[in-house]
Amino acid sequence: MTDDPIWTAASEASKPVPGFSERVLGRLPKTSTGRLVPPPPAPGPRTREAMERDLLRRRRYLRLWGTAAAAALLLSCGTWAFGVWIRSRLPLAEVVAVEGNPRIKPLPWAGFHLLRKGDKIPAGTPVLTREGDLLRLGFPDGSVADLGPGSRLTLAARRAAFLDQGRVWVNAAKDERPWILETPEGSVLTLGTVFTVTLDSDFPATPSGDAATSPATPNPRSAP
Amino acid sequence: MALDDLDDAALVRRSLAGEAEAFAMLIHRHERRIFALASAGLGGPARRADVEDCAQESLLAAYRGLGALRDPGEFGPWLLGIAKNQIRQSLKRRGRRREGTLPEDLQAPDAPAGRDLLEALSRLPEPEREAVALRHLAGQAPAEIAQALGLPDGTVRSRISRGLERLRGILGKERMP
Repeated sequence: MTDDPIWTAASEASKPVPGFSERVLGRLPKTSTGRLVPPPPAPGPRTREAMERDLLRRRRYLRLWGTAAAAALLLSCGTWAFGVWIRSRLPLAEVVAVEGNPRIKPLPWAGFHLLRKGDKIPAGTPVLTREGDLLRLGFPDGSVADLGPGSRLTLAARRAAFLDQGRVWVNAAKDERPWILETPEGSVLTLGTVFTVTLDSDFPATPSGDAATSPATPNPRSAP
Repeated sequence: MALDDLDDAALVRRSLAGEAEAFAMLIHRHERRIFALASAGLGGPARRADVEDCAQESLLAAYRGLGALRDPGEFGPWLLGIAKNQIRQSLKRRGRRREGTLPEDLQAPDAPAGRDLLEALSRLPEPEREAVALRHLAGQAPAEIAQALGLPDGTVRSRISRGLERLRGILGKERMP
């Protein structure tokens, strides 16, 4: 192997240069007696103080990150809750016409508010009429709902409402989304028609209208 | 007792006490291997001065870190590890330097006949390159290489064999050993 000229040349080229060890030693620091300055000793075992200091630093670090994570979680939960709340407060309909003194109770702890033309009706807020009252609501999609005397209607979405008592006449604008009216007795679902629902304490809900509406179906919310 | 008769562990202990002759003896024992590794690792275009610089830096780093060597008897493999790191750093520095153009005379190797072989060696994977370099450049027996690298004898032999096979492929010469 080593007889091969190419290997011999490579081996010769990779031989240490003469005086190499002296040159290395010349670069090492020496004491006044000519001895080498001993290399620094290996770092000894860590002291108790150093370990406690590290532990404290790690705890501070964890506390900082924990606080930051909790704050971020709180902020995101708060943002989500605010979003849900604000969406529920968005007006879904507007009072178009009023007769008598229909009322609304905007907040559970607040008193009743008499409705006037132009008032906005948000979701989840019951609208009440007493004997002799009439109320017409207009929806952004063009639908119109007339609430009869002695009724209680709560808007749930743009095309959905819940009738607790009384009578409502709905002229549902045509749309891909169905117009849904729920009652304790069942629900009416239509894509666009005129219908009336009357709730009588002695009789179940009776939908009627000049176009086909889905029959009243049992409402799970009314189950005991 | 003469320094020649002392083993690496004893020389390391004496070096730690600042005995220059002991460290010189350690250098003398291991310089051949370090030069072989550096020549093979840095390749054909490496100047002789680059190889020497690399070897010097390895030994200086070894002296500075001698206190951290847990088992003085393992000085050889430990030093080779330092040398390998040094070669990697030199290659990185050279890579950065190559971004500019080096004058041709600075790239010329000292031994033109071995230039192709050293260049081919530098292209081998590191484990095979170091085994072949120690075997054929430093002229060490497989058992010595196994001890120096802390590997089984069979592993060293197979690395040498694979390395030579690759070298044949790189150089395209049938007269490879």
